[in-house]
Amino acid sequence: MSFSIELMREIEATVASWGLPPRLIHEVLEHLYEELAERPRYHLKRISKPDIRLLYMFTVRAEGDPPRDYLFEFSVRYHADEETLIIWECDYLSLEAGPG
Amino acid sequence: MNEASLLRFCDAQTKLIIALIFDHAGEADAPRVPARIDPILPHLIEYCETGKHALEVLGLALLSDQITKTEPISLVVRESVPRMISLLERVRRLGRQAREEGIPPTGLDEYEQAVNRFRKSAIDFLMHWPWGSMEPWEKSAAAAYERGEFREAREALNELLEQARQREQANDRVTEPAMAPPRSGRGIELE
Repeated sequence: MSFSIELMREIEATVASWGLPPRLIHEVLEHLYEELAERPRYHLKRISKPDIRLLYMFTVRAEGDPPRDYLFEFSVRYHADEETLIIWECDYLSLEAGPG
Repeated sequence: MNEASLLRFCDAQTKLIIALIFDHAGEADAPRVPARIDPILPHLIEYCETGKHALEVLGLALLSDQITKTEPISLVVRESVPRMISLLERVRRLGRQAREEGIPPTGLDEYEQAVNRFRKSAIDFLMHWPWGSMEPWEKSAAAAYERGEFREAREALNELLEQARQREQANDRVTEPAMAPPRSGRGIELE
């Protein structure tokens, strides 16, 4: 069973403010729906400090000169209906990619 | 213990910056003097090793619940690690360029191995460390969710995707006059 994913409006505004190129937004979509929505228990990391939360993290390599690795982090919560995942916080950072 | 590791990390970083800026940076920046990066490679290797150790210690401390406030550390690390990786990769490119020109810097292979180890530990660390505001759900988002301030993610992201495509097309129109230089990459955001 695939989970549906809901995005808080504030998060939508945050992602828009990043000004990502189309390819990276497409990669985010693919990760959310091909990984997280399909197997959330496998992909979510649970942390307990400072509060209990579930994190979904992934990296994307973006070509360029030099290329960069983008690391994305989403805070996720299960809805009470147990069929929906709610993304309520997100962030990303980029690192210059290595040669290989 | 965690603070000490962080301090060692910062100290190694300081030594690195001093070596680059005051001793060798001018020469290393010039494209035709790649052999002059030799003297800074040992400092960079030390930086990689102490940085790797510090990040591993911090990661273990988080796992064993010894750290209760993650945000101060994430604020430091998310600024310093990308900046330092950028510097390390820049030196790696200079070293490879020198090798291609027949003047391989002494210790380049060891340096590259150290950079690779540091990169791996940095990405492992970043992929396990919570970076967010750490506001609990109840305070920051539950009320907004109750008010219906959410949307199906696919719909929202597809809309952002379309906006990004339009933005990119508009940029292409602006930057593609007859004499425009060829673009590198795909217009990806760089530093």
